[in-house]
Amino acid sequence: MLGYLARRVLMALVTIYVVVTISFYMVRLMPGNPMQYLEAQLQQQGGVSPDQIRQQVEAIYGVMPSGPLWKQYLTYVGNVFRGDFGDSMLNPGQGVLSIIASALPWTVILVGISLIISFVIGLVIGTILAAYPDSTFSKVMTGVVSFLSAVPNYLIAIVLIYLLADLNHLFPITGAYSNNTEPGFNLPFIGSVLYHAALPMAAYVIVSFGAWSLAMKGSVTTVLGADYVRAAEARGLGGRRVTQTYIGRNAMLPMITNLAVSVGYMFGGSVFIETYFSYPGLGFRLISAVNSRDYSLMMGCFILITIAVVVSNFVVDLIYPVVDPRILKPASRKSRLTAPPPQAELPGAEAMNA
Amino acid sequence: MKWKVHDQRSDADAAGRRLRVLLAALCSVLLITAAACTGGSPSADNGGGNGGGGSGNINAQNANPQTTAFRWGTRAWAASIVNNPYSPTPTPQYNLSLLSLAVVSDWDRPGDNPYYPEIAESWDVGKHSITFHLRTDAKWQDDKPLTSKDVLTAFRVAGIDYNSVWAAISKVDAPDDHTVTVDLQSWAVPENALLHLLQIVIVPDSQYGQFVPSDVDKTLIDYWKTYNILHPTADSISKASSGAAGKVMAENSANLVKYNPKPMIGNGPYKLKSANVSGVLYEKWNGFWDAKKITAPFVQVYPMNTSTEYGALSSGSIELETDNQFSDPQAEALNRKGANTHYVFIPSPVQQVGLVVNFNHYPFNIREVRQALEYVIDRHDLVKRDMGGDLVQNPAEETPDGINYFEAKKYLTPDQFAKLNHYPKDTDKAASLLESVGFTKKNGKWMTPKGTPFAFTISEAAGIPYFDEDGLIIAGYLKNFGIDVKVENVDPGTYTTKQLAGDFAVSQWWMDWGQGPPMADFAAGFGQASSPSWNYPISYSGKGPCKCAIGIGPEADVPGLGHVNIASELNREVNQEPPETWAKYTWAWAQWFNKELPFLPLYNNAFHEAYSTARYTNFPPDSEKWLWTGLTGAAQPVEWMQNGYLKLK
Repeated sequence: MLGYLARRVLMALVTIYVVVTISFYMVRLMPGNPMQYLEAQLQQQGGVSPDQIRQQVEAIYGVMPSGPLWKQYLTYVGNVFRGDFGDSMLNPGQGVLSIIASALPWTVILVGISLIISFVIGLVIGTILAAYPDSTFSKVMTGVVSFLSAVPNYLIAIVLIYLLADLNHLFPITGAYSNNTEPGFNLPFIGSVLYHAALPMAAYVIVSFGAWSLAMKGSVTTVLGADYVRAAEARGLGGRRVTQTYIGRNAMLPMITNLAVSVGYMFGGSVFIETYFSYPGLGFRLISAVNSRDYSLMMGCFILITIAVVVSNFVVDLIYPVVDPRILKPASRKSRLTAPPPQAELPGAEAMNA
Repeated sequence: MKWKVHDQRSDADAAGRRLRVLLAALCSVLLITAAACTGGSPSADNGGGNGGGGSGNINAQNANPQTTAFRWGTRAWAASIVNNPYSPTPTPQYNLSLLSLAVVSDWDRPGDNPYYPEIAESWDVGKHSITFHLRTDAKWQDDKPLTSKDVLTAFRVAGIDYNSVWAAISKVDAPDDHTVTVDLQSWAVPENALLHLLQIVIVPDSQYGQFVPSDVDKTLIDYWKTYNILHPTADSISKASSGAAGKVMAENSANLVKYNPKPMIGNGPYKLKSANVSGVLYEKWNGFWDAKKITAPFVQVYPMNTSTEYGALSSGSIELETDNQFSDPQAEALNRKGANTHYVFIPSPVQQVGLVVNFNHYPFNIREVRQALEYVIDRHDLVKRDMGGDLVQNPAEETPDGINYFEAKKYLTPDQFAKLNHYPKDTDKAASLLESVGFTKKNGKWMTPKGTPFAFTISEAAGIPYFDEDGLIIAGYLKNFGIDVKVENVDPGTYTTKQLAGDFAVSQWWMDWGQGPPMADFAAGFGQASSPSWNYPISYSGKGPCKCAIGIGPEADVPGLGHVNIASELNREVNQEPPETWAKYTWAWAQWFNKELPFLPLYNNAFHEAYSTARYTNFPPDSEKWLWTGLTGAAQPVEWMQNGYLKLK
């Protein structure tokens, strides 16, 4: 077990290192740099001559990172493994980690809660769809979830903004909380946060629960056809026990895996939704960093997302044997399959029909 | 095998679970609603305000920001904001709190006083000096008096930030607490220096004095002396940067842009109450000298996506937006009768849009070719078809003379205007021009004298919708004429860099810079110091290709001026010629431009902003005067209120 853990940790570190390396060079291959971006922004504002713009930009940035690229790379990698992600290029003096730390809670709130809600809704609906495949509800709902899964989330965001914010003023359009509240663990602030997150969450949930539903439906349908379910029913086990122990638990396995992996991707935020709602999460920061060629912030976000995905996969690998002991060892799995349980007794016909 | 669960116990349990879930959901909704009602909402309340609507001297303490704040939508800020006007990400609308000496309200200089006094009550302009008389009742929001020491610090901090006004300064002094004198170099035009000095943000010495090194005046003067702004060269610019003065400036400016003062101590009518990723809230400060005129107890600035600003405005969720350009249908919807909105369209004295042709790409170095293109492009049709036309970018460029149409009317006489070539659409004329320089037409396609097809690509910056449309429409005109034209979209982050490097054969941009007199605009386009630039820089050594967007010159025969170096002559005029000569030089350069067409003017872009009267009323009339208060860096609502506009309903 220890050897297994060590190998997994080593693989995770290697993965992170490879991603850091590839990202470092790829972002620098992008056309443009932070100075050029800022020059373009200032030129669009107008009213300032090109010479003044250049002088202002040089004042802001001083000298761009110099030296051979390989040297910059080694310096950067060394700093990263010491926890120093450098300063944001577009925000001189502000550390990348502090910017990410300020954005992360908003992403966790928005995407994390939305993920859980869409997961739960998806599981419930998917189960119903599998349980009652011929019902009207199932037929209608299958079409609805298929449609919603295909609709872009930014389209839903625009519709929600128009209907619920512009036309009816039910929800705010922008921001994470009201400026009139004092940030802290108090009811007005928490209420304001949830209130501002309601529309972005709704947009996220509406487009994502469909995928969970369909996945759950497929998973349940697959399990329903399994021999052990028939065997359990044939042995006269109660419906509840069959549902929970045999169907539910097995159908949930791939869903849990997907959920765990989704948690990892959660740290990338939801770029479109956060952009439309001007919601200050990581996705918003990332897209801003890409547009403005803020190399440091871009790299910081990429590294965070990589670590999150790697760690979530690692955690899945660790907890999966707990959830499904069958995969603990191939040998034990084989022995369980081949040796019938010695105490199993076939119920009589009366018990099967109870 | 179908899955049917007939377990009555599980049915009852399921029903109970559903009931519990419903109850929990209902309680959550009620809780959220109750908390939200006490936590505040930025949504519009079209029922109007409370807390003293309609009259002066409204106190913020008595007002509810949810119902009385003047809400201003602006482009969402990318990352953390900083309470420093010199930072790349300053707190949005910090000019509600930090004022300048005065606000430029009219670019029509000389003439009537084009400024609204703020920190400076008045000023005297001498032959080689300017004396500012500060308000005696101006103070900082920490109740300390605002004195000449603060103004000097502000001037010096601007100098550390490479403000080129210091090139014209020989000495600054403060004879007393409310007087500041600025002595100018003998060659400097005082009105030019005044314009720049008045726009410097006045920051407190108590916070920004740390970035002013000892003997800073000498440092700044030495730097610009080495730079040699009247005739800079690559060598002089490099020496200025690498010299002792340049190093001091570089070190201090790097520290300056990183500074984040907390709190932000302002001198204006609003105090920063809170600033974060969700918005910026300013609260009226009763210590402002004109507090009685300030009718908005709060100003709330919201980060908005440009696609949501229209909806927010039309629904009354915000009062003002100044950074978006709407299409005609949207503008018409905002201006329709009965709507609580108004779309302001002011033909702009800046932002003339032009098609930039690069002389290093054959055959654009041939004058007749450029003239032919100008005859083919139907500019009047272009503005009608682009983004809906009339309301957005009318009128089209009436006469290509290199300056905005509205500036041309001020600096050129009607006779002069009439003498210029108006380049009306005339494909026959265009054809004869091309044939006169050896072009031929084969199978409906034009061939260059070299025997190659006349073909090129128009490179547009992605993300500017009307530029995208312009490119396609212009390509259509030229294709119909027989020139093979393609259009490509280029990443906006790199577009201007590539443009100035001369990578594009044909591109598009806003080709005047709002520098004031037309010569300054000509100079901003053709008189820059160093490369890359729009045209040959002043520091051009005469060797090697021009890494620039246009490439005409570097010398030219200008009617009335003779044979001149374009960049040097324009630079000289801007820095040394008094206002009474501007009309003369404008006419000279207009004639040169009209004939040579270094770029092809298309239309005059308009200044746009839009406001809603859902909560506030009595907005000022649409006029250039109010346009300039916004364009030159002031917070418009402040100027409006100080001049009796803007009332809470």
